[in-house]
Amino acid sequence: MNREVVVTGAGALTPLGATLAETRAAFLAGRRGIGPCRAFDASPFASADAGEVPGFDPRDHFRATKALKVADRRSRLAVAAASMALASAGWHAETGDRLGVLVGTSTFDLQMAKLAAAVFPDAARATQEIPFFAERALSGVTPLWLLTVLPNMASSHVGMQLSASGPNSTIMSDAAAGLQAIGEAADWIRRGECDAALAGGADTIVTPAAFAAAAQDGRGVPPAEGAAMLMLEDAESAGRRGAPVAGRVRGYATATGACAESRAIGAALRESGWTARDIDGVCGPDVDRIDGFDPGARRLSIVAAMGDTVAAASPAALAIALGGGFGTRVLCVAPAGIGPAAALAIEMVTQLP
Amino acid sequence: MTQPRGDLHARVATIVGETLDRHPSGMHADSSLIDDLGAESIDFLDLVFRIESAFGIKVPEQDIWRGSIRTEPGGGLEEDVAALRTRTPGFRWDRFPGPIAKQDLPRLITIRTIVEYLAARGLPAEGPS
Repeated sequence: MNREVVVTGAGALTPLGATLAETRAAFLAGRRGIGPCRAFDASPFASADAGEVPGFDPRDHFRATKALKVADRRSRLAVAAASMALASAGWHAETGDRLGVLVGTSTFDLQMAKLAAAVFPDAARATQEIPFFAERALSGVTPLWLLTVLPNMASSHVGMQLSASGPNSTIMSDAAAGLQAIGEAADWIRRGECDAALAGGADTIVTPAAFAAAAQDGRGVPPAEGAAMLMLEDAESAGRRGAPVAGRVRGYATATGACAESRAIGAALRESGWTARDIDGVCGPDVDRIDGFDPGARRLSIVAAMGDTVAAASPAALAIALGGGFGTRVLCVAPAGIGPAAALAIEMVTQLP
Repeated sequence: MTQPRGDLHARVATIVGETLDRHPSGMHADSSLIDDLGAESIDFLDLVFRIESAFGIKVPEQDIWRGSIRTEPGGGLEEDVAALRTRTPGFRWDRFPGPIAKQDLPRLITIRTIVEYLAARGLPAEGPS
């Protein structure tokens, strides 16, 4: 089986807005979603700036709100983005047996504050005596702690809350994970494992540890958070239900090691049948520095406006590009950080509203 | 209707509401945690942890499942269920047209049975409130 995969919807929550439409409007207006951290007092760090998603209510998107107690911020963002992607695709199916979920994410929050509160009065002893630490942690931390912090919980919550009961998986490979999720989910559909999939990235690194790391790495990129999910569908299935086609997935590749980014770009282009000169739009967290494309190609880089949204960055850039105005043969590029690079070639068809 | 052990009832109702994300107005003393309030197995883990933390006690896992009921057919199960029936006018006993079996016991857990269990343990004792 080798089916054509199309994009029929998208949803996003970013520091620029709690919906894709708000994000896109703010981005086009040149606004920045960076400000003093609201989640906690970050003033002791070199910079207290963060990119935080403005107010959203996860209750609007969770079918069973009881699950919120085991849904961390990242999972809430993922469910909200996926829920909006389904709505944008006009998906109303009762059963989602053929609807998969693939979420890329870079890290997970151990909620150290809760662990620390459990062992705090004897923190020095707890760091030296494992049995003591275990006794304190086990008796003082809710047994649901692990269920909240497991890295695959974002994709699990999306599946449970949105009745997407097809294949469900998580990719954790740093910044490229979100774009890899889209590329791999497209392969699920191509191979016939499912007919549709919610795929993208969700991350939050608005944590004290990330502020410490940001102060050390010297790049000056504020820690941020966000989620962006696309609705991918088999072209025939989408056509049968009259779904709007925003774009066609033409090629995808990922690579690690030396020249990972250029090798991923080359392989994605080969699969698409395009050359670098055919590309008229390049999007991603930071694509202004990538050369080899037509000088007239549009560039859409989001990191300056949003901060470091990690695995959500490439899908968010792609979601903005799907709104139109950034080319018709578009390449989305996730640069290699400590993980792999990825590239996805997409042919824009109809602008997403 | 006034609740016996009103303070204990109020504390348990608050804990159950927080555990299951339910507003107090949507619960009453004889709501089945499973059938009426949507509790699943992981919620009982959470509930036991919250009760232990709130009252400063340890609750053995089997206790929360059986409450005050002896679990063996012919060994007190029928008598204890019959007694429970007289104490729980608001419980949906119509969901159990036949005899109550051992595996049905979790569905009998209500705010009232938890309050009774805690009272049998000697609560309300002083503890963090």
